[in-house]
Amino acid sequence: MIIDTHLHVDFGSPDVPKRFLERNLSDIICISSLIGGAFPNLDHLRAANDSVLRWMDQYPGRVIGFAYVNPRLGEEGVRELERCLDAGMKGVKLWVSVLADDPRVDPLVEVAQNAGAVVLAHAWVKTRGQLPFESRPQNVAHLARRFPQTRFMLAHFGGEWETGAKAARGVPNLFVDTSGSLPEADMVEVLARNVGVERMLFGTDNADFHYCLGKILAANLTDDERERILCGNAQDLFRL
Amino acid sequence: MIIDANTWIGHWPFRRLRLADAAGLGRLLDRTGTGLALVSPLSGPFYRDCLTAVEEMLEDGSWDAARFRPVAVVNPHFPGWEEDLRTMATSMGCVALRLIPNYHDYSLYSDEAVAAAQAATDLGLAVVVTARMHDERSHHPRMYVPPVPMEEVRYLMRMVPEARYLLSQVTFPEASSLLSEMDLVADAGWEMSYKPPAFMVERVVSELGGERLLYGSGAVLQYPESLLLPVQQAPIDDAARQAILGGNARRLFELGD
Repeated sequence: MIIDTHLHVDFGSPDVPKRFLERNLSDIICISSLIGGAFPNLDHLRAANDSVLRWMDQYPGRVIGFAYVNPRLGEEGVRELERCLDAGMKGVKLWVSVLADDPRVDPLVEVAQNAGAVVLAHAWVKTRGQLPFESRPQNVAHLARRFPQTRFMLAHFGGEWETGAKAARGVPNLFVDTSGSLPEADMVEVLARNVGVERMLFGTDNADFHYCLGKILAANLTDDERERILCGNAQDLFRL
Repeated sequence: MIIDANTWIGHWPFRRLRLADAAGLGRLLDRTGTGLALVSPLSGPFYRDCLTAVEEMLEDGSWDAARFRPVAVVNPHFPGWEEDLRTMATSMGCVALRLIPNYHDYSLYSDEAVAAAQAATDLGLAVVVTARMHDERSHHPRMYVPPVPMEEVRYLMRMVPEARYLLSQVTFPEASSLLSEMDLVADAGWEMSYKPPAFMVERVVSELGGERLLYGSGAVLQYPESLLLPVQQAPIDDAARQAILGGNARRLFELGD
């Protein structure tokens, strides 16, 4: 079994998540929609999240929904998140409208915590092109430390994976997904050394499925460790 | 036979690599069942005198002459490059010339770049144009190197149409922008080691034909399995798969049987 913990709908080629499911590349996918871009208003969020709810209806048991949020929307954004979690979503997607450890994120995390939802936070460290409110892995780790009872996911190794591995080290409620980044040699082993296999989650972030799978298969891991990354940890995390 | 059109060995200054030498590459080729690899020196982008980079690569005690085919590197703005290239071609067994203009700080619009492509062609070498060494987002903050503009590559291909070209470490959109140019030169292709998008292999085969796509892994910098698996698993016919995995490289680099 393979669970892809990081995919998007309404983003790039619309076929990617559909084909992942219909070709049985992934057994279960975790999806969010980013309609509205970096600074969505409430209508954008509703459209994004309604799209995810439709996917959940269309593929029952195979799609885990993550609610897109914008911490700048205050109480309205909190209510939208509550709507989504009440409808069965199990995750929260934080992107680039504010840094992950901005205090405006806190009310959303509290809702997630009460619902047992997982908070997936984008992060990257870019030499050029860092977006104004794009979190670095340290921002996500800081947020996770502030809410030790909530489970968080650091997206795509934290982007710059050496930084991500070290930032997530010693933060037991911070999981790391393996999506997005290039398959640089040793990155999987380095992450495993720093955070432990039990906090690693397979993901693709809409990249080629086998391109992303290849590094997990190639890394110096036992079969049990590979299984944990590919599905076991996600099964525990999402209580499947 | 699987042929990896893009591998490197040597020292990479930006992080530790555990399997970075010839023995390490050999292990990666064993792991993936790869029979032949085109190998470039990781010091090639950084040394002024590129001949020393290739010498250093070939002096690795574990150099596997049966499986490794060396790729020459020159900076055509560095004195003596013509003689160095001849040495690499005639005495060192190099099968191609890799140009790395962004790291050597010259433009492919320069007369010297055109001369290098011509010289390589006259020596029977293919020309490998390297768009980048790694993801620009992760460059060292004091060593950001922009990728090579594809318009410069287009110019080079127009100036030396009798050359055989491999576009290396290019994105799929970058390669796609030069598809029409590839039809105007003696032979051309691109290797897929840099961020192939989802389902690229089957899309290329069905829309373009697979004769210009080459399996390249970017090893030792990358896990080769990440590039091999998409080709092995793509829903394409076996002839196309074998072409991508080795036939196209054999043709483009004139590697013989």
